[in-house]
Amino acid sequence: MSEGMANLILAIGWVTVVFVGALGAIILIQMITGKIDLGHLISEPAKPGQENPEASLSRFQFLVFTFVVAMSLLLVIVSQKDGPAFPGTISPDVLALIGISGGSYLISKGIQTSRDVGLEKEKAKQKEAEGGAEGSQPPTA
Amino acid sequence: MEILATVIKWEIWVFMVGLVVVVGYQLLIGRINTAGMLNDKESGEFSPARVQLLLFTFIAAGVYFLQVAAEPKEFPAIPQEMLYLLGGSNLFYLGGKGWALVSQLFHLKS
Repeated sequence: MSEGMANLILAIGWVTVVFVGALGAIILIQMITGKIDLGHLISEPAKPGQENPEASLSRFQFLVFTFVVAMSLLLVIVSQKDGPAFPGTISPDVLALIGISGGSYLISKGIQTSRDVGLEKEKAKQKEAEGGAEGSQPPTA
Repeated sequence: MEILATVIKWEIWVFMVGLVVVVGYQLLIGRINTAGMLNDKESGEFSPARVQLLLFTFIAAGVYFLQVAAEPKEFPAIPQEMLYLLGGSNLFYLGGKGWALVSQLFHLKS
């Protein structure tokens, strides 16, 4: 490889590093100042008319394990014998950990959605029944 | 090139740790909404199933991270008992939610 090409690669590397670093810093600063609002990071989606949706435990668990596994992966990568490198194998136990938290989140969401859909149908049935009952009453003079 | 690799390493470290600190701090001061996290969604009452899931989540996450920190060259083997514990805890929590759904669908509650 010629010296010019090597310098070009180095320059591209430095530009990328500075760009990614600046992006990371901007994201962190905006999270701290509140411009990126994390207020509802682990909240359920708001239902119509609901101002403050409740927090979800399965989302919180997913968040905790995402952070733990990501930090662990970073630690393993930087601690490799011959410099930073992706580990040769990822333990199936780690995948089980992510699978349990992710699966629990998805199932919980599915149950919650089914429950909400069921409640909406119940309300619609009740409204229909009330509307039918009113319609069958004779009009008052 | 070595300086570049070191700078990238530190950038990623600072970003990850910063993210954890920001999210952790905002959870502690209440800026991230945690209201109702330990309450049953249907009755609004305090739910022991949720508390046990929260406890086992913290225990499993803490033990795992400490194991990685002690020997960071490779991912540690997680004891099968811990996976069973965590899985069982999640099953108990989801079982409660599932039962509430079944009760609602078949009007099992009076």
